[in-house]
Amino acid sequence: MARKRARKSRPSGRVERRPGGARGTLVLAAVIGVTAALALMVAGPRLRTQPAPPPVSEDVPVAGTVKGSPDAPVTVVEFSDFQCRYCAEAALGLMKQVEANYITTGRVKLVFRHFPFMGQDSVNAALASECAAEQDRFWPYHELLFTSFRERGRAAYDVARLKEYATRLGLDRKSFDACLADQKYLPKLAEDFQAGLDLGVQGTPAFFVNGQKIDGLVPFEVMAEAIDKALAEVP
Amino acid sequence: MGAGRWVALLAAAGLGVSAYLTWTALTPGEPWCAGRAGCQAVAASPYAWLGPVPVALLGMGAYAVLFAGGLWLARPGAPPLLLPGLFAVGVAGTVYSAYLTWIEFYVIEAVCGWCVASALIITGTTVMLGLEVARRDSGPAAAGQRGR
Repeated sequence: MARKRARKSRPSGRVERRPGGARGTLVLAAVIGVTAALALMVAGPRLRTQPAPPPVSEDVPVAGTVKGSPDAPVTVVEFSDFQCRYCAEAALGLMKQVEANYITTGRVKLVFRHFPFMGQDSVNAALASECAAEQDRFWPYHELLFTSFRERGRAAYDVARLKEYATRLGLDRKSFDACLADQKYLPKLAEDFQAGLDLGVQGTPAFFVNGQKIDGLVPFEVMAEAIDKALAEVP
Repeated sequence: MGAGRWVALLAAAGLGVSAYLTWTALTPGEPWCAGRAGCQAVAASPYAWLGPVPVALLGMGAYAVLFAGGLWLARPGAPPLLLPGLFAVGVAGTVYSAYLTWIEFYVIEAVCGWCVASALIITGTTVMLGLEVARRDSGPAAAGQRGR
């Protein structure tokens, strides 16, 4: 100990640090800690900087929860729950590809039906989307819901936020709020849900391509194959 | 009271908070929240889970390590790598808590008092550990007196 003290008071004025001295130990431990924290951040849900939902193409006819030409030979019916992560991926990924390849060319129309089986937040989001549909803004609202859900989870669907999305999309808030408060479209939701049960839907998303059932989120190639097959069968 | 005991005390508080949040994550209930219902929103967000594991359970693990380590640190004869090891755990917890607090404010836009309390506890614990690392390494004389 005395030798160490003597070394500290060398005339050079340099203070010798023991190997693994305070600064070194602190830095090494801090680096290990920060690395561990970064690993946790990477392992967690990624922050997504989603662009604003693209506007619905003017070439694609839209009527309520239906997108595409009414004369399209193939109809894809999608049963979805706004709290279902795979439904969000389907809406923002798979169905965008279907839209680009089939809906814009008039060969497919997409019918969205509600299957809100994951609780009250699912019902609230579905009701809000129908209130948006009343003002011809179902599809942008539906995208905003799923984009927000991917970011915030269930917190995306508290009633204040559902109303805020309506404002963001330029909806008439007075009628939107009244529609939501009245739960005006609850019977439609119940009807969609029952239709899903009757068709054997047990989870979401579930698709029907001219009646042929496709369960779950599938790669675009699988969906395209089913659509091409349906197109080939059309007289 | 020595640093080891302070660390153990703070970690015990953190352990209580994280155990409560883990319990609410793994059972159907939602965390009790004073005032605005920010806790429910935060608990329901995807950031509350790392895959199948509630983030609160990870916090519980970290606090358990800090609690046991703090008690050990307070006893004579603790291994030399214990303190920097605990400091590394504290830094990891503090940085991750800071990230989660930022998520609360700017992504989820809801604040959970329990999470903020945990962030403060882990920050305090880490500061305490950092000061102790510095104090122990500042001189051999001090090194011979600590932890008693």
